[in-house]
Amino acid sequence: MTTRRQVLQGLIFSLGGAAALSAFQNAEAGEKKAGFYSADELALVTFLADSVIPRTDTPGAIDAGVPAYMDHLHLTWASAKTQAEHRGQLAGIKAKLDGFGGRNVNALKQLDTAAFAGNDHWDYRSVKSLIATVYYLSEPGATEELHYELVPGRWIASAPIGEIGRTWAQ
Amino acid sequence: MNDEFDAIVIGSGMSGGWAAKELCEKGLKVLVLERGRELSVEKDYSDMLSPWELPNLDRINEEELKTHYPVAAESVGYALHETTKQFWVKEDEQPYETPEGAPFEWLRGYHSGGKSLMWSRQSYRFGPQDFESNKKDGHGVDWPIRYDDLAPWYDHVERFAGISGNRDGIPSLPDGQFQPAFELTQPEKAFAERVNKAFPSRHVIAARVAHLTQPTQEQMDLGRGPCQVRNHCHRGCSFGAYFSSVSATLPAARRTENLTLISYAIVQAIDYDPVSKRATGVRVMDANTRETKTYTARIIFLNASTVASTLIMLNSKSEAFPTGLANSSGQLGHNLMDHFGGAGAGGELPEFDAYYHAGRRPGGIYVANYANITEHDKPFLRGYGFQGGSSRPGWTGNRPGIGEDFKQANRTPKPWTIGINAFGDMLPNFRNNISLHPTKTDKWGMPVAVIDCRLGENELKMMQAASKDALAMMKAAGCTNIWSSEDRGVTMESLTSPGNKIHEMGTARMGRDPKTSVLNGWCQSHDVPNLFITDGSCMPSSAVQNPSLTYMALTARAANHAAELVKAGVL
Repeated sequence: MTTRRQVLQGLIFSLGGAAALSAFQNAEAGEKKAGFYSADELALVTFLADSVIPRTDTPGAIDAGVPAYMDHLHLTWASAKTQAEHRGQLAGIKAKLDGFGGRNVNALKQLDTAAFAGNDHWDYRSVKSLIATVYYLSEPGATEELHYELVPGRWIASAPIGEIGRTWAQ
Repeated sequence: MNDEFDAIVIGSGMSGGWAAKELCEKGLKVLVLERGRELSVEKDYSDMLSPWELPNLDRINEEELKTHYPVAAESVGYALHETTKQFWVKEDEQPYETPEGAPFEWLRGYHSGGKSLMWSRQSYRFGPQDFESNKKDGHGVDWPIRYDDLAPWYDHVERFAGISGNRDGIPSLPDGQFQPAFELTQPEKAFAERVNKAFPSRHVIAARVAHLTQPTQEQMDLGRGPCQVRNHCHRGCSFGAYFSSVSATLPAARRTENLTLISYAIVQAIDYDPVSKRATGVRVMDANTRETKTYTARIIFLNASTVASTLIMLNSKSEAFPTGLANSSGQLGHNLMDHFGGAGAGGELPEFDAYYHAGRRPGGIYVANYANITEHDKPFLRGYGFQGGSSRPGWTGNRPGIGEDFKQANRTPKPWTIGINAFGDMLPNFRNNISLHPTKTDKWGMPVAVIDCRLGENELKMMQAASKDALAMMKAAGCTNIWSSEDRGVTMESLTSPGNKIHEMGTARMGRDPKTSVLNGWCQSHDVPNLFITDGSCMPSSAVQNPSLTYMALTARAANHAAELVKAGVL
């Protein structure tokens, strides 16, 4: 049986390959240039993305290529200041997870509970928000988990929510 | 190219497009001078991209943003993205100055269509009271026209542009020639009813927006189609569903075969002949080659947008007009106004959570001004309107939980929220002005603008009242989890800076007396009769309504008058 760690390692090694990047054209699949994250940072981001938004009956954050997208985003969008802040956030999360018992789902649950109960741990909340943003605006997130219409073509001001279904991705 | 023109229109934006269309349709040969490039729907519009096709979440590289768009990033972050940045001026390449402690946010679009590509499409008529306010309270000069003078021209421009709205029957916010409005959501309907019940003189209506909902044959013949309810308007609209010069007036002008449009034509000055007392030519520098050329015509329409038109006039100095063309009154460059905000409130209406919407409506609600119209207990002059709307925030990462529970929670949208924000009427004040920098020039040799515009005590008192009103309306509507500008209080520092609402106006005002105004009631220079200015510069007061529709009506009216004068041989 494959352990979670092995799954994650497999995903990490596949980053830069088409599988993890298929959702995002602008993640420039196939390019071999150096990424933003160190191997350890990428492992952490991958763990967070997979734990916060796992594959269920719909694709999860890994299926949607979220870690690779975040890597590309910080490489090409972020200023040096934002890059440093983001690295600081990841370092903070790592230390907190260690405090809760290491890089595992139980520790993350404790961190998440503490973050929202105490209006605290903004390093974690910030990264979690970014993971959600990248996921829900990805093609699988927007069209399989939620729904999205490029050209609605009509305005329905109010309909029973059951008729509309899930949250609009946008 | 044939260099014989009857009319030159400087600028191809909101008002310039209208001047070109009306003059061309009257049979005049028209030259439009546009300082930027000609936009291409295929290359410049990004409205057909899905969220996952937008690079980097549509965020502009942070260093690039800081270098090129520091003002716009703060002012119009909602519209400035990686896929829309081509519509916004790179500020470091087009400098201007403001005094320490008195910012002015000058937001510009230098391309065919100008800011008509980037506007928020809110379209309201001024009411009868708005043409009388200056005379009534003594600020500024009396408008030389009244509502009835402009009403047929509002009809004219609304029929062509296409405005969706309801006939609401509010005398101070007159109805027009509307296409069907976008229906209000359940929370908006409840808000409207409850506010009106608690405050019978306050009317909450569907926003009137320049979107086709039932296009006419004329609109379809121009290649325009109905709004597809995408709310991607700031990326351009491939359907031509919202009004812009690019979708509507320039194509209409082109089909007459009377239009010539030259891109990259930066106007430096307008020449004046003291013998004939006419403007004789327009001096232009090519933005790329720096070659200069003078174009001539019988009449000139100046529609470069308020600040730029003012700079051109101030830079057109001669012995006859040493302080700028047509400035015998000394008012040119003065009385600069903009709408301003800094008051608002919002709250949740979870009682309607059994309902959800489909489509992304490009407008919301509007609260017509009542201050000093139907409510007279105010410690300030004039008033304010509110723009707003409801929404149901969707997914968020800012919620507790991980894993399947987190995904499940985000499948249901959060409770309905509703919010409103005030737009205030700024008093005309001579001290608020635009001038030419004495030494600094831009890369084409034009003196850069120095803009000194400040809000005053009346504006502060007005926004403080608007803030209290917004909160009271949220309470009256039964909202929960209310937030408002009352939370921190409204101070001079918390008001939006002039320029922020992108409704700058007033620096070449119309008036009855040549001694105190630049233009007459036809937006025609008192001093130089073949010169017309019909962008925001011509406005004697700002009212509270978004002004583009009024610029359109004033322009169409002035252009038809000018064409008659040309045909009669007067000009």
